[in-house]
Amino acid sequence: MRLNSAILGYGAYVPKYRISTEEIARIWFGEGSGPNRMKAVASYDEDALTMAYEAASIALKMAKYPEIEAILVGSESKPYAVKPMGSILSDIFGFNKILGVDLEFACKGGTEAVQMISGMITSGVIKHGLAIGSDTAQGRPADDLEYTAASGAGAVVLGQPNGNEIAKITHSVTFVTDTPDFWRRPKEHYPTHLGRFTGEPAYFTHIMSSVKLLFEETGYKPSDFNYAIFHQPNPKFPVEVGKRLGFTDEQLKPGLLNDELGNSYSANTLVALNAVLDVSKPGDKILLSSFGSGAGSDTFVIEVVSKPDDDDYIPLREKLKKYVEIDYATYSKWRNKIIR
Amino acid sequence: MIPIAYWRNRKLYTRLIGSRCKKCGAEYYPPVKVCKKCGSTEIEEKEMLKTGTIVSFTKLTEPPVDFKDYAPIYLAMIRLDNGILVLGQLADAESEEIKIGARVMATIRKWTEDGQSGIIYYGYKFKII
Repeated sequence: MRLNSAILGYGAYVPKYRISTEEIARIWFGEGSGPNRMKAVASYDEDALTMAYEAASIALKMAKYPEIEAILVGSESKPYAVKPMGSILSDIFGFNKILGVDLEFACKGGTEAVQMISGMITSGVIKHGLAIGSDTAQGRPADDLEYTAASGAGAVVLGQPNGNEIAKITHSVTFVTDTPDFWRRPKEHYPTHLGRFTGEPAYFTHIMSSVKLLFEETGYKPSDFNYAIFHQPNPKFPVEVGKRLGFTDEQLKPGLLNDELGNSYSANTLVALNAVLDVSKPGDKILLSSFGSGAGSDTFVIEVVSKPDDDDYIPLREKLKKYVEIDYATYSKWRNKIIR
Repeated sequence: MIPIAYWRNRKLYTRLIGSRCKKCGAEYYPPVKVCKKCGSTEIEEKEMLKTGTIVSFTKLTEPPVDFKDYAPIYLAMIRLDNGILVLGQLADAESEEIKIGARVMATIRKWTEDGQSGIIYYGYKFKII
């Protein structure tokens, strides 16, 4: 679908704390590590809502606080099963004449929010909206997912293009099928997944189908893009899918964060977009493709227009240099893995 | 904490909404109904600045029952950049970086929650910048 929306501000939040996958492997297997070096862990007083607030605060400041008419929050770790983060955030930010809703589609809730708000802006229903992806992802202790399931949030303030925006979103497609690669039933604390099945029929099929659909609709090819961002459930998959589609390491590298942060689910591609926007130049084109288990993939064409006008803004990779490593005991206490 | 009392005061807790005297410009947090400086009752809501400096702090190893799982917690007196003094918890604070004069910024964190089925109480805390 053709879109005509603009990114007026962007922000990402990664908690201060990390646990190494060596530490996780030490507890369960005595030695070894996961596919990534570390993952980001939310502190005891953080959840998807507080992290969404942090990311949105950065994006709203960069966008110079426009009157927001919709807050959509993608998450699969909402603090309340019933009671939207969208309404709590609307109150915190002081925007009450809004559509405030939460969305869930495993790891692609954040890009769904971008797509829906862009649609509302393109059609003229609203002028400004806030799209957020935020998760404190949970992996069952000793499960493969425990190495990567991480915490983080990404946000973009969207509006109508006026020539002064940071970037334009010009096109988006979605490809969805019923694929049982990963799910969580009501009242279950941890998700269930089908191991290696999650690769070919789920991640690769959906991202490749979505990107090829976009190429068919727009006529674009990989060499038309300066950067490509693919959902990062581990360090290997985004590189592999990029190569299969014809993208180079140089196009992929600026957005790769899984090795140091893990997989922040709904925030994953929005955090990567933040890292890419930090280094992109006006005129650059970015292809962004998310993946959500269940399963589906949203792909976007993003054209960079200008650099952010915010003197206080600190690039994401600069902020990531400062972190504190915690042990498995602290991680277990903070993430409610200890039953009393 | 009582959910209805929290709800009534949520602007104070999450947005640091205080008050400002329309007559003399004095600012207050928490908000007041009568200006302590000039006695005026012409008072309006005013959102406080979110940045400030640590004036004093203490470490609680035996915090109140709602916070006992989070011990130790750090409480600090913060002089906001508009001159108002507020009391708040420090978030993500490592003991070696907590110093009088350290710059802080307000953020939103969970304060506490009423068990597994009750309300989650969100409010401001300060993180060192």
